[in-house]
Amino acid sequence: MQPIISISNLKKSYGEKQVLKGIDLDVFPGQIIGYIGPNGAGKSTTVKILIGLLGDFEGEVSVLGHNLRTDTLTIKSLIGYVPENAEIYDVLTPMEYLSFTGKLYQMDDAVIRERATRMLGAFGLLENKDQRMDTFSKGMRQKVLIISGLLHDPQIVVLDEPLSGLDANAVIMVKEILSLLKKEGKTIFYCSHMMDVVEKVSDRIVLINEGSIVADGTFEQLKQSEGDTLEKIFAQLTGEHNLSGAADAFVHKTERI
Amino acid sequence: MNKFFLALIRFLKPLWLRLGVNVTQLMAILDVKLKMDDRRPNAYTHMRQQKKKEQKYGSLAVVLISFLMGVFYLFVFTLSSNPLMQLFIWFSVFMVMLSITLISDFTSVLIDVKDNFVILPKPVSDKTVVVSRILHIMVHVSKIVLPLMLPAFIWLAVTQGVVVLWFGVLVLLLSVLCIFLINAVYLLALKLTTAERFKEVLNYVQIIFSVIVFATYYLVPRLTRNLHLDDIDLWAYPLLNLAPSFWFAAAYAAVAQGIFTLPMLFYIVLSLVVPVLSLWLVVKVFAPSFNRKLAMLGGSGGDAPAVKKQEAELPQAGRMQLYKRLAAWFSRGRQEQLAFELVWLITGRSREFKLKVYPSLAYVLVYFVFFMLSGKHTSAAEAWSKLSSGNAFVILIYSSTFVFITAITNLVYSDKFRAGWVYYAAPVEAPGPLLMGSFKAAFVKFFLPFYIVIAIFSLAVWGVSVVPDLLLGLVNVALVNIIFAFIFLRKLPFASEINVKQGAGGFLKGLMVLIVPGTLGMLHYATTLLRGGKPVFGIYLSANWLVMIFAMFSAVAFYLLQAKYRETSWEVLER
Repeated sequence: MQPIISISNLKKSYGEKQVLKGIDLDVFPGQIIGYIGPNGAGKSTTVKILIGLLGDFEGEVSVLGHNLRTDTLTIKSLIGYVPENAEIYDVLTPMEYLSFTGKLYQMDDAVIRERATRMLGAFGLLENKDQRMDTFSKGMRQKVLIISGLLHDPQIVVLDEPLSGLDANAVIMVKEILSLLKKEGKTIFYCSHMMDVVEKVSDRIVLINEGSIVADGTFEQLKQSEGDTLEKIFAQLTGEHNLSGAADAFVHKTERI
Repeated sequence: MNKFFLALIRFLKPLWLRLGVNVTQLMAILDVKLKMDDRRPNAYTHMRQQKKKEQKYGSLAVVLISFLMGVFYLFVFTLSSNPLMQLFIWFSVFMVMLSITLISDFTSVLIDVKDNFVILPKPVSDKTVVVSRILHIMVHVSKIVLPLMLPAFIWLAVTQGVVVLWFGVLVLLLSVLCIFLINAVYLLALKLTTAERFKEVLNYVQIIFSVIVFATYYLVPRLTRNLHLDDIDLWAYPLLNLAPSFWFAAAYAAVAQGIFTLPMLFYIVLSLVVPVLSLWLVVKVFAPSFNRKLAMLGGSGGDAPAVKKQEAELPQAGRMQLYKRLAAWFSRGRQEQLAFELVWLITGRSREFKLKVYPSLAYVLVYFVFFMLSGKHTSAAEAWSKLSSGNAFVILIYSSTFVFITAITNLVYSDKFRAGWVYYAAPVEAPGPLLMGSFKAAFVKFFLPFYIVIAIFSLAVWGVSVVPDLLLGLVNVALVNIIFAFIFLRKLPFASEINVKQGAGGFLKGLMVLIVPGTLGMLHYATTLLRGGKPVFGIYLSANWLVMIFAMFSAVAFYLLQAKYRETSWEVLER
């Protein structure tokens, strides 16, 4: 099978600091990739490169056979992106915002209206659709962001901590949405720190640490070699062996000097 | 208003297509951007309205202010009867004004970090993004340029007739050129420094420019009053050929006076070609690199600050930092101390705060120079000698309170005001000590250095004899400041949103700003009149004695007030 995303020897430095030290990754259609790693490991840098925000990287990235460097716009139109820090033009209403982002993907007004209404309705935001978002809670904004990432029916969905601020019902729904999208053959790139969620939703887990991939496989595969929960595997591989010791030092004054 | 601009842009569709811009996306972006401009106070109104209330319809206020400034600019037509000279000055003033506006607006409009997450991940070409930014700026600018131009436009239409249309064209071209120049400066700065440093530099540029504007308004009319510009022949200064405003003035004069010699035609061509060329340059050459640089601004350097922090913490290990020592010296109790430290640190790091407060430090000096020049002098030397024989230092001393008032009124605001929850979550008995600490930090950091400068200046001009006055002044001014703190510093530091409307009594508060230092200043001035020990009501009073008694009264008042201020309770705190 041909990979939908193909990353080879991806390197990226900010100044002297090398953030990505040669990432090789092939992603196949219909996969849900759980992309995890500690803070500062290079997760969001990878994502930014993948969605075409950072142009000056070394190595090759291609999506559906398009080279990311030359066909950035084509690739951008194939990807739906839900950013992590809820950046949104909050003086607009959800409808205004969605019609704006839809137009950027060159969708027809009628299609935008139909889909936006349907998706807002599914999230229970229909009655808020003409309210300005500056009064919205974090969860409501996150819902609008998720909708704006999926509005144009993208082939690849990149989600960066998509569940933050969502209530339990919305979390269940997003998980359902992910599995429906997977059935339709969409590829999902899921970045998160919530290991239990990643463990459940992902077909394949990629763990990076200090700019390199340190583990890559299904949860079952990782479990066999490293530990029985994803949290333990994570701690094992990212070098924090003595977490309970650290926790103890956090709570108690330690005697050792 | 926005609909009109959007229709105009849609009308120029072939041009955008030719530039390689996606028109649907362009219109979508502009529509949204203009809508957002209307819904929140923009940078322009923000910068202008430091002390005034925030208004709901910011853009209307911008139009009005610009129009008033345009009326003000008419004075250049009284300076000279030569159209070349008139227009040269007008265009120069216009360019400076517009550049300042642009610099402040570019930060909020062009460097909207949210764009990184909202627009850049979408399939929008760099060209479309840049053209949309430029057009956004242009629409924004026209809301300023058109009313600004209108008075001069009418004036020229009345005095010179149809040629005014040419003037209108030139103003628009000059606006385009300004946009280009600022854009180029931004790009250059982004190339030379890092994004974070650049924002810092920009902050200071904004501060300097706003001071220049302020100074220009106050001082230029004074300085030019006795100027005889009619005698000056601009053609005798070849260096002027480097100034774009000169080309435009010459281009106007050529058409207005019907002189179509070769050099004149050359100026006309320059005025037409350079702006068009610059527009082309911005779109074709600057566009791609600008976006790439912009993407970097969006907090991509997640690792850089971590390294910096470690460096910064190193010197702490040795001796205590200055601000901590100051905090310990000046504060009574832990809470005062922590508020002192917090205020000291945040005022030094928040760009927003610096942008609002630092210009006002310079404004006071400008006021003073303005005041010096306002008498009828024929030469600077005469003004100086008159100054040193008079008692103007009293005004200088008391006007220094305005510095303090700007500092404390801005102290309570922050765009991270939500972090203020911590005051309410922590077991704080009463906010008084926190307020007192903030007051002291503002006093030590913003007021004292300023007062020292005033003191040095006064000693240089008036000699040692003003020492008692300076000391009395310090006590009085401290008294004024604590009164101000009672009026204006009624909220916890950095815990209020900027856009909230001021409560009732704004006018009364504003009046107090004049009355309190005014009254004390008058009394102080009265004591200086007694200098030399003339008898009053038959009693022989030395001025120095009077000064001492006065100072003691003020000191007692200060002490009582500050003790009361320190006891501020949660109940009286303004939320």
